[in-house]
Amino acid sequence: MQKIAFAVGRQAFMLFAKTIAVLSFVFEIIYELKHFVLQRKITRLILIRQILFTGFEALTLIVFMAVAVGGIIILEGNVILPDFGRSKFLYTIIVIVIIRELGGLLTAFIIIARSGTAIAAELGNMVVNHEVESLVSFGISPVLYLVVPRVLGVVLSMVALNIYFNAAALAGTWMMANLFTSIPVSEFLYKLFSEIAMRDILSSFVKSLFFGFVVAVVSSYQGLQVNFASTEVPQRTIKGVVLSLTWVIIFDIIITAIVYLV
Amino acid sequence: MKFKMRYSEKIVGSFLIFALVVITASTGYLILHSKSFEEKHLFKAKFGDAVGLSASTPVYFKGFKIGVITDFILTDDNYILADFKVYEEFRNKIVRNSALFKSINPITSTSTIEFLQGPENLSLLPDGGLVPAIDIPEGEKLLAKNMVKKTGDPLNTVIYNLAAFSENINKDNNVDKGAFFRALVNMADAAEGMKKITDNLNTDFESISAPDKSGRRPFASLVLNAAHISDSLRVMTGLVNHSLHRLDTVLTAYSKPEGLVVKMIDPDGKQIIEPLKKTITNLNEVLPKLEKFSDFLVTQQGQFLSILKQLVETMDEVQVTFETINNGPFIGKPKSERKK
Repeated sequence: MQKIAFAVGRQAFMLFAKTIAVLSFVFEIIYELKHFVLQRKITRLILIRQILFTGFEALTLIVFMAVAVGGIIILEGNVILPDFGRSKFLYTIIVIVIIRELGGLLTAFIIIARSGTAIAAELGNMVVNHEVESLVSFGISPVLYLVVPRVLGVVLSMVALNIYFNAAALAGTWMMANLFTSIPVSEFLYKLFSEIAMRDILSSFVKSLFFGFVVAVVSSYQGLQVNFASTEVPQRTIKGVVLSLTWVIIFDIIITAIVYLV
Repeated sequence: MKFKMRYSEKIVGSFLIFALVVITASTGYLILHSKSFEEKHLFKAKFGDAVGLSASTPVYFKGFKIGVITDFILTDDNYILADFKVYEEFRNKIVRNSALFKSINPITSTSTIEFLQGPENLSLLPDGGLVPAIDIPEGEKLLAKNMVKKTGDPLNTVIYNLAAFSENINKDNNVDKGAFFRALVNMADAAEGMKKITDNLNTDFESISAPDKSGRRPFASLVLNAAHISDSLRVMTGLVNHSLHRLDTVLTAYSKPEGLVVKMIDPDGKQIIEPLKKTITNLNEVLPKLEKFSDFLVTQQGQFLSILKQLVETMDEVQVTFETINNGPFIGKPKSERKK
């Protein structure tokens, strides 16, 4: 009994310590944001390259996936409901599925797969190669120099990609709906915007902000948690992916509940 | 890759700016579309219940969204008092003696609020005025006085009409309470009797086509059934006549101009009542002739019997003659197939 109590107590303490460590890391990032604005000449290039890699280079994949998802929704809808392309359900389902939920989630999943893994692996290798130590020895904060531009880059890319995803998915739904029944763009947009509320756009924007932040923070944290062995890098990368996915879904539920239920 | 590195700033800038333009244009269009900055006129709406009501439920008039429900509360007298905003361009549609019709589609469970405009010659309802729903007494009065005409979700309207019809027809103060259903039951009984007769006739006609074991066609059994069938036909004709007479009485009662049911299903009486009355009158004219024919069948039964017997005998002779010809050595079948 005593052993069980000891084990539970130790686990609880470790969980508490980890939570404190992660929260400190998050607060440090927020604190260093101020310095980033002041010293942007140094880290600006890292930020731009991060957006280029995370945002622009993922654009083709995002657009392709969005058009496919939009088309599939219409295709499946037409199987279930005759004249689906003409019905009011079309617009309701587009808004609920794409703008409220899938847009943010799928974009986050792609960013986790492409950029989350890359960030964790890159930072992990930097730790193994003592590059982080050398930064500290020069008096440069690794959070300011390495983490903040990555976090900002991922957040901005996530927001932009979410917008592109929604736009492309709506275009995909319109194109596929036109195969079944002719709908003018003006009519499509009019009916679509009749179904969209301001809180749908707001929720989509807030979700993309949080998702981007969560993915970047979790990946950076896991990358910096590597101690000395290069074998730790893939382990930490996988852990970063799993935790990013988990926290993205948790935040999705929380934000949806706050926006639509409160 | 070198190209991307060299122009990375421009590429990233374009990437972000274009996304910003898309989101700004969408938000702007949404704001314009939702008429957020347009002047609105506030009215009060009163409903019987809050089922399907929400703080942003739109209100439609002739398919146009003319406003939204913004808030609602439960009053002390257990009605729902709602704030109802109307857009500037539709302000002149809100006249006195207008009403609202809240309908819920039973399949999709989506609620729709339809604005039912009062007589157009009436003056505008001042801002803050009350627009009742037709599920509360004030609204029911407007509907009864024909101040407003109910429209809305077609499926819901049909169900609403059927429910109202059923409710009114079963009211205790309705002199014809249950008459419609009694007439329907009689009609059902009559139809059942007619079906039995038809079944008997079918059976008999089927047996005509197949000869029995002795090789004789059972005309005789048909003749024996004929008397029974004609008697049954006479009885059923009388029953149908009686049922139709009762149905005629019921329809005459509902065709009175003060009947609520008639107002709902056929206000002018030209669509259903008049054609039905004509049909019933024609049927009434035909029925005595049918009865006479039935009586004639009964009186002529003896003669029919003898004629049919002669017919049976003749047919038997014909059958024997044909068999003889068939077995003949010159015209009939080959020798191997002839009857032994």
